[in-house]
Amino acid sequence: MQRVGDSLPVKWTLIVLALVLTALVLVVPLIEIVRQALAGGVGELLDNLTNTYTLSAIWLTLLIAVITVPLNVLFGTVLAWLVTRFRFLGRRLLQTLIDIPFAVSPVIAGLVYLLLYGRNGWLGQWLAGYDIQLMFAWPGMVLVTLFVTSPFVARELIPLMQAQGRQEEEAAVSLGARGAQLFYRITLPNIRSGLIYGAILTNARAMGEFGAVSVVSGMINGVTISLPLQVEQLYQDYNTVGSFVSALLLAMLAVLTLVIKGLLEWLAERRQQRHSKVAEDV
Amino acid sequence: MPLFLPVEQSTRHLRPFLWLLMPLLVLAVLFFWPLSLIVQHALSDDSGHIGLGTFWQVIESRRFLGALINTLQIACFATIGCLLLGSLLSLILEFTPFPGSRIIGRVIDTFIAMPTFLITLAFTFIYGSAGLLNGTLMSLFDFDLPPVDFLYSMKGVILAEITVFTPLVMRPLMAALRQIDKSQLEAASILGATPLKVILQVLLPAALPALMAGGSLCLLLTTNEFGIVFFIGAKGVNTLPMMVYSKALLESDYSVACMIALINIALSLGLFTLYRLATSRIGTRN
Repeated sequence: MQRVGDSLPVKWTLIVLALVLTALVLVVPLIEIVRQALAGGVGELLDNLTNTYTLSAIWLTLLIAVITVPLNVLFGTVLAWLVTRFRFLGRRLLQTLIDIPFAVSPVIAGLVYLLLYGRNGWLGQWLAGYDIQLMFAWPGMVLVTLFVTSPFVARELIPLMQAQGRQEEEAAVSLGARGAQLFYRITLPNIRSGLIYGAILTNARAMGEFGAVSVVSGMINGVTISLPLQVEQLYQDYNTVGSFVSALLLAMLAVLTLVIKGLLEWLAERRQQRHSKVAEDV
Repeated sequence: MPLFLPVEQSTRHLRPFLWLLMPLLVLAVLFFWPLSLIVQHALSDDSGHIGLGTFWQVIESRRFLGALINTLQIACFATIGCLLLGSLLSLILEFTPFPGSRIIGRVIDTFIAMPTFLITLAFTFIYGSAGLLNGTLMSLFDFDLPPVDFLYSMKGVILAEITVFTPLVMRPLMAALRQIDKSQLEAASILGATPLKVILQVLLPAALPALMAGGSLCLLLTTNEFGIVFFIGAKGVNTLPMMVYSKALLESDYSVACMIALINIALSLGLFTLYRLATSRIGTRN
């Protein structure tokens, strides 16, 4: 019997190919970021890390992510639930509309919000009357990030929920489960992996968004400069070390989200094990 | 035939519509109203008249046509590249397990969680004209000019986008490949199918939905990518999002910017529809 990759030379060629490709395009760039950040020594790294501009950029980036991720997880879950569990007029249309923010370039998303909420925009003028300024301030940056990252969760969940079907939920309903009970006991465990992955994607994009945010930020030093914008700003100023320190920070924030993801999965698994053990004991 | 339970039957008429209201409101306020503004700005000239003046002005400009062609090329080649590289890597990782293949899987997961432009930034320092690779080659072989000179061009942008978006293809694809019953593959090869035939006739149909999802996401994101193009800083590579940015923010020409934005949206929706049609046709043929 001949299977794909059974002959040794083919197998090892494929393996070496995979390793080399991964190294060249994934690992080497990451190492390079660390190397560049450390190019001026640890002292310079710490200086760049602790100056007020960097600290405010970290704070702003975290703020954007902390607001965006939960809101879009909620939005995406509701959308996916609607589209896969109910039949109604316009269901297919809604399914297509979910992708709209992906079909709109981040720059255009930024431009749209600038036109709407800017000094000359309709809403902008009205809000200015109440001394509220959204553009060239953090709320505007949060708004565009919400727009740009809104489809990720729903996109992850819809295929998953479609594949799983509704039998388990119908069984639960017929056994008398209430809405919340149904969600926490049946739906959530089933979609957990997709939900976490969607949240990770949303978070990566929210923290790393450059195009949309750069349009509405106004680049006020220490106020509306998030980490990606700071990376670019320092890079243009030929401050390579500073720029790579910010890049390294972003990379480490990404790793941190993965750690949190691992922790969440571990907790959920443990709880499930405990539940099944209780069930066995009974 | 789906089985509708009485419980759901009674609430079917009311609850979905209440739930529907929230996302629709969000969509309307956050997406459609703002997008209608783009249309309005694109169609009105300086004096506020509605007309197609801006449209013809944009269509006739050389710079726009160049950007349009560049955007199309980058989107198509980068998506094809992502699909090929993603399929190859996923097949290797799923079907020829070797020590360390799990670590590669982990690295790819990490990569998905990374902001996209980080890799591009690192790219310029590795493959750029004053980068690591060129520096090493120049000191080793006495080149006068940097020998590796692809980064600041269309090829560089395409390569960077392939790097960044390939994991988005791999993740769903690997999940789909994992679901396939291995005995099917063995049955196919016992019956005399060559590896290529097994891939085309057994794996491809099963993996098609995943490929479709990954590919369409790549196509949309590459058509509209801004950060990567901007960070590579390729002078000759002007794309539609780049042009919107420069028109709106550097030249403050909002009606032209909106018109280009409108064409950009139409283009990515058009590509998306074409892609959906093509893949659904392949899907039904199998």
